Amino acid sequence: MPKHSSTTVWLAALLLAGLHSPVQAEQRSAQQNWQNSCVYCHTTGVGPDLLGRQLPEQMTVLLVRHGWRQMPAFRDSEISDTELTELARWLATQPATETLP
Amino acid sequence: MTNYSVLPSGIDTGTFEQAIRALRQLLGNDRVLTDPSRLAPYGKIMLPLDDADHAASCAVLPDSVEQVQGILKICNQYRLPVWPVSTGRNFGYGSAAPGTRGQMVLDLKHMNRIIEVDEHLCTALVEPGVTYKQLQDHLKEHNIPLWLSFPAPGPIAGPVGNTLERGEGNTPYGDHFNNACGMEVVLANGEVLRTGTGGLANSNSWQVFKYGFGPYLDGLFTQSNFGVVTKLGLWLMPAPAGHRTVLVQYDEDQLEAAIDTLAPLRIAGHIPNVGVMANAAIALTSAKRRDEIYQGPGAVPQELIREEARKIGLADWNIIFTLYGNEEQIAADYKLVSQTFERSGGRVIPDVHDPSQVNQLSLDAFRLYNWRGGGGSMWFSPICPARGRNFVEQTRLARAIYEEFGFDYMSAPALSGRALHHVMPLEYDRTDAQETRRAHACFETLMDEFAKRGHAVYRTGIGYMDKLADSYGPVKREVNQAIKLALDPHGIIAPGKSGIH
Repeated sequence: MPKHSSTTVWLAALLLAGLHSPVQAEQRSAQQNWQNSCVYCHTTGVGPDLLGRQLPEQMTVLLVRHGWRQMPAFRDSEISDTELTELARWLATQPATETLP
Repeated sequence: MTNYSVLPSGIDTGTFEQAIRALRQLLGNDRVLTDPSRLAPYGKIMLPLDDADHAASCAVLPDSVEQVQGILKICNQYRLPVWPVSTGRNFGYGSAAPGTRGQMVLDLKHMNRIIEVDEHLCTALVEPGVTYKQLQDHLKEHNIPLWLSFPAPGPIAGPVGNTLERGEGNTPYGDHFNNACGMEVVLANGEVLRTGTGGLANSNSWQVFKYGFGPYLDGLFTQSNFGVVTKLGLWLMPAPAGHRTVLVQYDEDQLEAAIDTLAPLRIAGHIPNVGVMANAAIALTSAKRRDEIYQGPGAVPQELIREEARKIGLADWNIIFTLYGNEEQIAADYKLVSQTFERSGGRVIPDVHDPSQVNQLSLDAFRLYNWRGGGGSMWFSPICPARGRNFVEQTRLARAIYEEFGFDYMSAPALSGRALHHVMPLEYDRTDAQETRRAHACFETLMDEFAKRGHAVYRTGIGYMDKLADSYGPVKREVNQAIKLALDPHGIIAPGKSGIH
């Protein structure tokens, strides 16, 4: 009996884990995109801090799409135009409070 | 007729336009990019090559295996060369740019399904667009205690691309291809091959048994252009009860002893993971930019690097590895390895932190790119037998060549086992045309001088693949060529990849 119930638990876990995650067709929020990529460099001192700087939206779009020196470029397939516009707008209005020490 | 700024080699505008129309019909207008501004991100490379030589004619963004099949059929019909990328984050090897001008990029980033995770047998099946961050988030969300092994650009790169390039991570699962199990591959004729046991209808062992029956084919689809991998099985590491990361330091004149002490510990499994051994220069990039310590010509003098490194507790050579398990296991392993290192003159410093050895995603290693600034970076990646005298020979040879060309010799071999992946970054200012030419010449000299002495290079970027393939001899090239001809007679998949045309 214990053996049987542990199998059941395992199957349930497998089923749960096996649920297909959908292709990310739905739009991700600016915060999600920020958390997925930008934070790793732009809150850690690897790249310049960006929060609280009121960066012009067009500049953000241009830098994300083309990269700049050691900063990589990000493709349509990684962040859509709509998502990028929203990210740029969000970034332009963020206070500096989220900056890590 | 539309004017296209870049065309694939040997294809006229009319034929290209027909191909684009067919691709748009298959994928929709917004999944076929031809506008130069949309293609710009594909052209951002760090290598010292002419951007124009690696400009894409277009990019297509499928989101299913069926669409990849359809794309390859169209490519065959119009003889359109197609360069697949997964997440396109192969920094220092070519990023998302095609190997030659005019190839269409097959950007698989939208194929980002995590198809299955088996918590019990510790496996996953994923598509090429899945990033390590996405997979880690999935595991956390479902409370699945499995760890990932990832390369330096972990959060934004993905397991399929890195594994297919035979990249390395830093956990005990750091040999990524060795921990891959089962592939789905779209062949040039549009057929779908599943390797291992995956060919069986309803196979229940695709992600747990690599070999299936008959020839083991998976290696053919790594570092090659024989098919487009659309699914990959991964073996994941059960989260350990605990871990302890250890730093061992040696001076330059102890280098031979360091390697000869390390290798037996690694081979016997007392050091369980693919740790790293950073020289002072690369370790220093975590804290300093080059211009903060040196403004003179040529390479930064070794004595100055040593002095600056010492100020922040770094030695000439810094071995970092991790012990995993419960407290008792770690204590026993620590006692054995620390005593062995100390007997050979190493200085053992326990409880340091290296995120990549303990499943923490980070881009801190990108501080390397700030050393010189200017966005120029490439990896020279010879294999070194894990013998002290071989490693000393490679470091002396590499340092002499780097310094001859005015660059800083940096070295961070991965402690792979019987061999070390002796990866060395070449950091240069890509905004300086003269320095860029020098980086290219330096890299080619490294390739020549290493090959001459029997030091094999395991991986290289676009622009250098033919040269590297030549060093492996004509028979290897002929065999690759014969396989290519059999599987992709029109040569549409990534012509030139790994020197295979």
